[in-house]
This record gives sequence, C-alpha cells and structure tokens, in this order.
Amino acid sequence: MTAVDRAFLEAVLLGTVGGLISVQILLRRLPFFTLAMTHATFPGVVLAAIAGADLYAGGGLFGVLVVLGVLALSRRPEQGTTTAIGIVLSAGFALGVVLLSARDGFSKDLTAYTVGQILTVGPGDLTAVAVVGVIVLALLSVAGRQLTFRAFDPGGYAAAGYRPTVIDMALLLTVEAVIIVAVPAVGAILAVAVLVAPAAIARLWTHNVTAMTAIAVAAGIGSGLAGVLISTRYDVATGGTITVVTGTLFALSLAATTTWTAITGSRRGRRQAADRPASAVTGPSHLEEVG
Amino acid sequence: MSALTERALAELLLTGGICGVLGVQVVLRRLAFFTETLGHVTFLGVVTAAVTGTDITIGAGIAAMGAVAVMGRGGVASRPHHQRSGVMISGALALGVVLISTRPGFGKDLSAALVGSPLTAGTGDITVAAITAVLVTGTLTLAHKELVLAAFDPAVTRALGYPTRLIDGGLLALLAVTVVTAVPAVGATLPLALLVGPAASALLWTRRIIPATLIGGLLGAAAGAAGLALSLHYRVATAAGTAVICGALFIVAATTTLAGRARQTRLHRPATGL
Amino acid sequence: METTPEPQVPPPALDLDEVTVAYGPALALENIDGMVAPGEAVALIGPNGAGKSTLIKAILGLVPLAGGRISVLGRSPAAARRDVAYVPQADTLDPEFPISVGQVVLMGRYRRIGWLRRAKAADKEAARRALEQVGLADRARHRFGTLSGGQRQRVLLARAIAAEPRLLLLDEPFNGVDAVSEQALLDAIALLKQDGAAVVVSTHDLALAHLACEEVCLLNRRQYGFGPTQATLTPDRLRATYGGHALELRGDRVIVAHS
Repeated sequence: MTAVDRAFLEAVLLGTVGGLISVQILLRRLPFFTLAMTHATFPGVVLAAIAGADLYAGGGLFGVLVVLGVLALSRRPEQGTTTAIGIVLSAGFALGVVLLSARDGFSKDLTAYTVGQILTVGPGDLTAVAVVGVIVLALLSVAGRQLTFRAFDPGGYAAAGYRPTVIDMALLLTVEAVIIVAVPAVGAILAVAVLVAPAAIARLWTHNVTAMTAIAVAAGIGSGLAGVLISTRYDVATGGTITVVTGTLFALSLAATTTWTAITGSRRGRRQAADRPASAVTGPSHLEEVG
Repeated sequence: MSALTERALAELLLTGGICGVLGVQVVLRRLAFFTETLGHVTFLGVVTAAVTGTDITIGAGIAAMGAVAVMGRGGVASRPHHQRSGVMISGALALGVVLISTRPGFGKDLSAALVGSPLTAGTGDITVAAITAVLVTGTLTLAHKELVLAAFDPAVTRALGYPTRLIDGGLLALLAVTVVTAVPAVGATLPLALLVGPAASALLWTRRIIPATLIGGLLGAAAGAAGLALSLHYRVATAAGTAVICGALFIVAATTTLAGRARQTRLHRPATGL
Repeated sequence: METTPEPQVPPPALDLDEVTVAYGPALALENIDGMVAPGEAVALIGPNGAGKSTLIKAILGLVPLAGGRISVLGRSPAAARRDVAYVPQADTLDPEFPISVGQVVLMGRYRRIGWLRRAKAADKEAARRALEQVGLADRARHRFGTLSGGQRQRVLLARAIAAEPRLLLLDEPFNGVDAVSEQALLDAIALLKQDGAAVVVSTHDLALAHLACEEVCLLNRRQYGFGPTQATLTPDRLRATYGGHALELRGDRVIVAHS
C-alpha cells in the first residue's frame, strides 16, 4: 500500500465517520462547541508529542478534560455558553502554540498539527479511525432515537425519565474521539470541517434525519477523495484542500437549494395562502422576539 | 529595552486595550462565534494579500468587511447562523492554508499568519492600532446608551424608530476593524481570546457595563504586556502567551466569583429563610 | 406640518382603514378597520397566530402594508413614533443582561435625550416617577434579571410611561403575571388613560379585556368584530374568531380547547 493509497483510505474512513457524527452535532447545535473542542485538543496532542507519549492517548485525555471544563465554565449563566466556549477555543489553541514554540522546529510542527498531513498516515492511524467508526456506529444504533429526542425537545427528554447528562456525555466523548483521529489527517483547526460541514450540506437538501445522514456521509467521503486527488495533482496542502472542497460543496448546495425554493416557493406560497388555516400563517419578521 | 521590544509593547498594549474595551459588547451580544469567523476570514484576506503582493491591512480589511456584509444581514449578529458560520469558519481558513501552501517556505509563513508576530510590528502597525483605539473608544463613548439599548431590547429599539441596522452594522464594522488591527499582531485565532477573555472576566467581577468596559480595557492591556514579558523570559510565542493569559484570567475570575457567591448564599440563607 | 392650524377636534389616536398585511403571498391581516380615541383602550383578541403581533408591528410602522392605511395621531406611523410607546413581553428579554431596573426605565427617555447626549435630571426624574407608578420605586438599583416575571413586565410598562406616550401598545402584558403585578399593570394603564393616552393591548384574557378596555377588536386574520366590549364579546363572535374550536364560556372567561 502506498502513501497515496493510505491517504485515500483514510479520506474514505474519515468522511464516513465525520459524516455520521456531524448530523448529531448539527441537530444539537454544537458546531461552535465542536470547534472549541478541536482547538483545545491541540495542546493535548502537542503535550503528548513533547512527552513522547501516544498522540491519541494524550490528545484523548486532554480532550476529556476540555469537555468537562467547557461544561463547568458554561454553568455560569451570566454570559452563556458561547463566551465560555470562545475562551476555551482561543486560549486552548494558544496554549498549544506556546508549548510548541518552546521547542525547535516550531513552524514545521505547528503546520503538521494545525492543518494535518494525510499523506503521512500509517496503518495505526487507519486502525484508529476504523475503531472510532465502530464506536460511532454503536452509539447511533443503540441511542440514535434518544439523541434525536434530546436534540428536539430537551425538556421533554428529561420529563420522559431519561438522564440527559448520560447521553450528553456519550455524545461529547464520541465527538472528541472523532476529533482525535481526524487530527493527524486534517489537523486540529481544520478538523471542524470534517465534523460539521457534511451535515450542514445535507441539511440544505432534506429535513429527514436518515436521509440527512446518508447525504452527509456521501459528502464527507466525496470531498475527502476529491481533496486528496486535487492536492496530490497540484501539490497543495491536503487538509486545506479537503476543507475547501467541502466548503465549495456547501456553497453550491446553498445556491442550488435557494434557487429551487425561490422558483417553487412562490407557487407553493400562493397555494398555502388559500389552504392553510390562518393561525398557521406566520411570516419572517424583524420583530420576531415579540412573539 | 530595544526599539523592537518597545514597538511590540506599544502594539500589544494598544491591541489588548482595544479588545478588552470592545470585548464587553462582544460578550453582551454573544458574538464570540461571529468574532472567530471574522478572524478566520481576515486570515484569508491577509494570506491573499501576501500571495498577491498587496498591502496586508487593505486585504484584511476587504475580507473582514465582506464577512460582516455576508453574515451581518438580517440580525445574524444577535443569533448566529451556526451552520453557515461553521462552514465559513473552516472554509476561509482552509482556503488560506491552500493559498499559502502554493508558495515555498509554507510552514513558516503559515505560522506567522496563524499566530501573528507582534515582535515585527512596525510604526505603521502601531499607527493603525492607535487610530482603531480612538475609533473604538470614541464610538463607545458617544453611542453608549444606544448600543446598550440595542443589545438589551432590539424589538423596542426598532419600535422607538432607531436605525437598528445602522447600530448593529456599525458595531460589527467596529469589530471588523478591531480584528483587522489585531490579526497581524496576534494571528487569526487569537483575537477572540483578547476580545472575550478580559471582558468576560470584568463582567464577572462587576455587573455594570461602564466599569466592566474600563476594567476590560485595563486587563486586556495588562495581558498584552504580560504576554510580552513571558515571551522575553521563556522564549515562547508572544501572542499565544497573551491569549493563554486571557484564558487564565477568565478561569481565575470564574472561580473567585463562584467562591464569593457560594459564601454569599451561605450568609444570606438564614436571613432570607430560604 | 408646522403651518397646518391646530384642528378643533383632535385626530383619533389610532385610525385603521382597510389595513392589509402580507408576508410574501400569504395574507397575515385582511381589511382591518377601527378607530381608537384618546383616553380609550382597545383589546386585541384572537388565537395565537391571528395577527395580533403583526397588527401591533404595523401600527409601529415596522411592517409594510399591502393595502389600506394606518394613521396614528393624524400622522403616518413612522412620523408618530415619538408619541408611541411599545411594551414587549418581558420573557423575550435576556434576564442575564447586566442592566439595572432604573437604566431600563430611563431607556424610555432615550429618543427625547437624543444621540450623543447624556440623560438630564429631568429625564431621571421622569423615570423615577414612572417606576413609582408601577409600584417598584424601591427596586431602581436592582438588576433587571433579579425581578420576578410580573415585576419585569411592570418595569417595561414604566419604561413606556417614561416616554410620555399618547398611544401605548402592549403585547400580551398579562401572560404569566402574578396577581399583584396584574393589578399594578391595570392601575398604571388606567392612570395613563386618565392623562389622555390611548391604549392597544393584545391579550387572551377576556376578563382583563372587560376590566381595562372600553372596546375590543376580535381578530383572526380577518376582523370578527370591533366595538364596545360588552356588546362585541358575544359567544357567537368568539366562536367565529377562534375558528370553531371547542370553546366554552364560563362567566366572562374564555376557554379555548386547543394549544
């Protein structure tokens, strides 16, 4: 197996795993939280590299601490979760940079950890992605319905007798696991593209969770393969290229679906105005908060 | 102190101060995610300018204003469009990385653009920072009550006939100018720490906006100076050191106020009979 | 404007003439007619999504009309804004916002104070009096978010009072409000009416409509009645307004058997 073969395989595996978990991240409105987790995992990976420990173990341990830290900081209701997440994100990344900058070869290491090097992944990395893939599949098959319930109606979920903390922790730890296996390939700051963008693309095309998952996986795999192909052909950074392909897919989907709604929307809208009961008529407004 | 260090100190004091002051508005309106997106888009602007050989401030400025125009429409400022921002946030950064990777010396350029290089700040950078400082403090002083009103109650602000789009857009533009000022010094990801860390800490210590703004500014400037000292003594990346200090500040603020509150509740419990 | 002589009869506080509002191709309000005189109150009654909030926004000039005309104090809504105050629902505001009750009330004076200027002693005095009228004078220094829901609603009414409006618009002010606050709100509204202000209040509560308002407007996209409270709130009209949903009248309360 050549390095390029391994890169393609890694792209397919990562696209699948990322696509699967991204739907859950989007449903729970966690993209920003995920971004913070990717950035804050970065110092863990650096620490592990400096200490000569296993990157996955070091990153993983640190990632778990980050999850707990964000949850603790966001208990201060004054400022909401956004602020706490923002601080963890930015300061966590900075900590990684500080740690790295204390060593020689700063720029080269920083590049590797922040934007990844999919062309250097080894069999160990591939196995790690595959293992995490099995974990994600297990979570979705065991608790897929509960995850959707919790995302849709947090109050109702607790009222139904479930323990929200358990499922939240399970989801966040799984997300963290995906982040850690994504870092070698696409880097700490680009990992969020693998974990958020596929579902964001799928969401534009469908409202159905199952269909969304399928589209997200396809988008993840597709942009991974295209990214590796383009980057080896033109000799540009692979992690960056994968992300740019994903972003382009999103932009195209947005343009296509917006046009489609604009074309069909006026027709459908006229029909609805006649059919729908008046109480259902609510429109876009700048005073939405008023009720 | 060498001229180099002096300039770096001036740049970090100014940037830290501006960010601490404007950060209070960012925290009040929960704009952290928006700010991060702005940082990444500005990074793309910086890289594009460097690759095409145009002025970096102009490139960054155009990119940041573009981001405000795209994301600031329709009240996005108060409720971020997470999906769109999420894609934009990584897409802009990735495009920047791809652009840089087309050039030789990839790693070094990328590091500089990602984490900034305050030690290379020139007189021009300091002038830009000083102008931004005047702009930010001036606007916040003159439009204080309107900004607070629009942040607290957007519906009534509109009902009162205020040009809310102008107020919101103005604030976002001010944020864009600040990020553009900060990115060359502290890089793409770190302005967020400077904007949110000191301000959020200040808002934990005082629940009044004007004192929080003053404290935020002082803390931001102090974090900048401390970051520089840290980098001179321990030879670590300056801007990153500053950002770590901002994060540590918030953790300290959160713990001390939490402890204070726990004590208060204990003291009050018998009195109120709760 | 300055050259027009003061008319003998003051213009109505609010004059709705065939008001139609559309969101895209869908009609949110169709041909609403009615008039409110200074010192009078009208209750907007109808189910959720009937267009009550939309009508309030239209009176504020915040949504464009697809047809008809609204005149506020003889002027266009946009031109009359200075004399109109709007009270949103308290629970739409961020309870964690670092702002004191006194500051919130002072916001009612911001349009009078103008851009770039600070509040004068007269403004602070007006804010203090307004807070007194809703019975919360002793809470001026408390943080807004520390008050109960009903008290927050009273603070928002005080803010409107501080603006010295000639037309007051309230959006569901009695939702989730305790009895003490409800009484305080009713008293403050009565006082405003005595001073000649007109009041428009959207509500689900027919009893409160009876207590506070001389007139009601029954609304569910179309208008199902506009007139004196007693004569207009008939079971037939209510049933028509609420779209034939199971509805029961017990005393003067209405119970609507759908969410």
